[in-house]
Amino acid sequence: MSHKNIIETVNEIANHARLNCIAHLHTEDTKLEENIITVNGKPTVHFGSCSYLGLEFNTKIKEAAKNAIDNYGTQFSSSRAYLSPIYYKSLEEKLEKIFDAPTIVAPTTTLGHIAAIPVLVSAEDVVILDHQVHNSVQTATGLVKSKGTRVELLRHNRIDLLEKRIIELRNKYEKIWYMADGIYSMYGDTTPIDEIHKLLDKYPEFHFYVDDAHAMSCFGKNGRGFVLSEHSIHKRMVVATSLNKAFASGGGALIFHDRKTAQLVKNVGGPLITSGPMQPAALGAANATADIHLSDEITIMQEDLQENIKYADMMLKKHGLPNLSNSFSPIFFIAVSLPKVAYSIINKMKKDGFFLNIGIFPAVPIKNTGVRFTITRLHTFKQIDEMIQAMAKNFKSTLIEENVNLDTIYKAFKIKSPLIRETDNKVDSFIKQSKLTIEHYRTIHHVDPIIWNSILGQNGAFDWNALTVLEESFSNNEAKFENWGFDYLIIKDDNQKPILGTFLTSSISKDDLLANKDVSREIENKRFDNPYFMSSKTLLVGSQLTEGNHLYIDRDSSFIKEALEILFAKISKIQIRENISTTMIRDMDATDSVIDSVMMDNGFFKMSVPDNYKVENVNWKSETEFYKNLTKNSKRHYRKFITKHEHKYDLNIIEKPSIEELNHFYELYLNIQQKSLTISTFTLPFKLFKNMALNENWEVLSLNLRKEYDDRLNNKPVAMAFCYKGNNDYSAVIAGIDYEFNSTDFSYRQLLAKVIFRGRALSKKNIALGYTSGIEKKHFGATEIKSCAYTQIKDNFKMEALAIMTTDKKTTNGTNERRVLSI
Amino acid sequence: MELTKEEFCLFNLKSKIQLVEKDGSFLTRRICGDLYLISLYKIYGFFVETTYDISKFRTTGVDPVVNIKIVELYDMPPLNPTG
Repeated sequence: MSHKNIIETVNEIANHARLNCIAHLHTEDTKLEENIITVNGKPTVHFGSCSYLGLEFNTKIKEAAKNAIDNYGTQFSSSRAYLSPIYYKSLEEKLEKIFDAPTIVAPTTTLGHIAAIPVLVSAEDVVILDHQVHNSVQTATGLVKSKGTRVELLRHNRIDLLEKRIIELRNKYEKIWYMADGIYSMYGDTTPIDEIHKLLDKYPEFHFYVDDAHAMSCFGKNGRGFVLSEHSIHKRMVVATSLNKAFASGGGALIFHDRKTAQLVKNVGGPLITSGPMQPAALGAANATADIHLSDEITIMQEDLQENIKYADMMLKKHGLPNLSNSFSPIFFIAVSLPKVAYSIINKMKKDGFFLNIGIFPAVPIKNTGVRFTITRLHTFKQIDEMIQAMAKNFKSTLIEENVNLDTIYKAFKIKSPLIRETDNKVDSFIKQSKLTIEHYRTIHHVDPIIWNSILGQNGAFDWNALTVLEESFSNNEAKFENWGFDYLIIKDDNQKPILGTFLTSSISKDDLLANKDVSREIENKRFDNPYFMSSKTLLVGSQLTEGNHLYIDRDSSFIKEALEILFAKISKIQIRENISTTMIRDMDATDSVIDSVMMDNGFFKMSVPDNYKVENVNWKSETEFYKNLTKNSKRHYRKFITKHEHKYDLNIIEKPSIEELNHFYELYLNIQQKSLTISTFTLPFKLFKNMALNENWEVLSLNLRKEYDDRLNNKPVAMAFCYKGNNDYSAVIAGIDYEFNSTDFSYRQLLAKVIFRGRALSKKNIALGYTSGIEKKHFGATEIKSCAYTQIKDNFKMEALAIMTTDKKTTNGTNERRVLSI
Repeated sequence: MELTKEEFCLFNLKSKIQLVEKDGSFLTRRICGDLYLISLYKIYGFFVETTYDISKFRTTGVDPVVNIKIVELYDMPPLNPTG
């Protein structure tokens, strides 16, 4: 966005807010009674004040301001470079005691930044701004940027990224300045000060400039603020703070580690030598406030404020309002996502007698708009309780009116819902008690390929390499069903030996995945109008595309049960995070009584699944030898369908198919996908085919009819299989055929034979032929791999509906091809 | 919105007094050794006793009633703690 556009946008938003009567307002009271203000003729409780300790009504401070005017008049107009009134000297001395570090007073915090930053930062330095750092810091940084200093923006509070940038930049720049707020003025969250101190100790080039304005007085010994509450000022740190928020007087302050730097800024910092000084009234007030800070009174006031904050935080939680702020911050931010929602809530609140603020662009991204309010020491529990009750009522009604739901808000802000947070805490505490180490990754790229392949990469098509193709193919797609979430879990014992490993995918799947074909056909008819009819968010151990044992368990380990319990705990976290309806742990050994018992204990029901077929332990050397091993019946089948017709075909092994070839292969796949309803799935995206084509472990077996047997001019392939060359297995994962030639030239059977011989030629131990068509596959020596699935269903309505449909089909047709559940 | 007993106990004395004044219902009171005026309140479905120090002219304690038998010390009919 250009500068001009930003100005226009901000202007438009401000005008809109003004016309909505929530910005640029004035109080109408001639005398304030604590926190009651009259706006637009309506008395309201002020929930937008930054005077968090309510010191503006403190008698001692008011008297001090009046006395200063009596003594020095309304102003003392002289540059501080020449002469300062007596109040400055005493104030700076008091502030040095408060902060326990050299301090200079600035006319405002903003002018403090403008004075300090150009003096501290040179063209040889780099500045990294936190995305949410206060606008006044960004303004001051603009001055050094114009003189050649490199300025970068960092995602809010991403200390991991900050460290990465420090490492990258440390040999290129003299100093690396990170600029942030102590407590952020919008979200009320805090800078991760402990981690920043670690970086300061670790990297000598790293410097920290922090605006702690909103924390002044509220935290730390003598009210020195958030960043200095637990740590003394670091030698490479500068703190700027405000004296006109909780300090309730006026001006700002700059705190330094050493007197030399403080004096440098005082001598050279533009606004400190050329701008007007603070007015005597503000200086008098500031001196009295500083006295309070240096007394025990401040601790009591801080405690009173924290009690109010605690009560507000508790009430917000009880009402389930999405508050983004830290639990001890006086600034609260209720996430609402869209500006129209915030406008509506704030206006309703005003009508109910509460004045709140909007948090909107440019202070926050436009879709991260929120209702911002502050809690001060002046609020009573009754005021807080009534305001939050009104907020809960107005929040709920506005969401309905504006057709926005909580999930949308959580997603817009990338925050966890209270339920997710609660589950996370429970699971985390459960895991913490274990001696086992849990590694949880959201992408295979973060998983060590050697470890992954050693536990799960030997069989099937889900080694490290294959999973990169799956992740790439099932992300950033337009259709919902084409986007999967990936979770990788590795659980290690105290010797760091993996004892359990698996991957899980969350995706939308059809509820009739394994239902009777007739049931699926009936449902498919309804899906013409609604493609997501009878579909649910499903969590699969493994994926919709892969087959085989996706759950590695070290059978020699004595921690199997504990590792499985952790797996279930992790699954419960993912279920809530992804709003999962059905969870399925597939391709399990149906005869394993140990696993069976653990599964049942954890609420998983055993379920029959289609058998898959494999030609195992391939040790024959030639087609003749292969043929010899077949049963008498299969030999007859082989002669009839393979030997008799194989001369009609050419086999092409294609490692890098062209886009035209891919288009045709995709059509062949669609032929099968649309016809076969034994396993009812959504159509695979074409992107998957393109990605498989680019990956060296995938190849396509393509069958063409020789020209003398093909009437068509284009002589396109009549069958194909995308096969994965795994470590032990050769897996035919996706097949496609042109049905026109299947009945006469038996292209599907020819394809099966070619897959088997190709696997043998590559010296693979096993050849995986996938689900369904069992009779055909058995004729080629394949054995059926008996397995089961364990499933957990959040809402069993759909399951029961399917069961009823299945029973209906049995009654009408006299057949029931597959039970929905084995129980 | 009601607080649980545990949540109530997270607050300091000043806040507890505020909560009792805001949400509590006064039930009865007794004098303890001419030194303390102890009042019984019902709040959020449990009982609390406030202790007023007569010599200091201020409330010095607000504590939930842990043992319901304490209620019997008061000159009043038995109370249903959940009612």
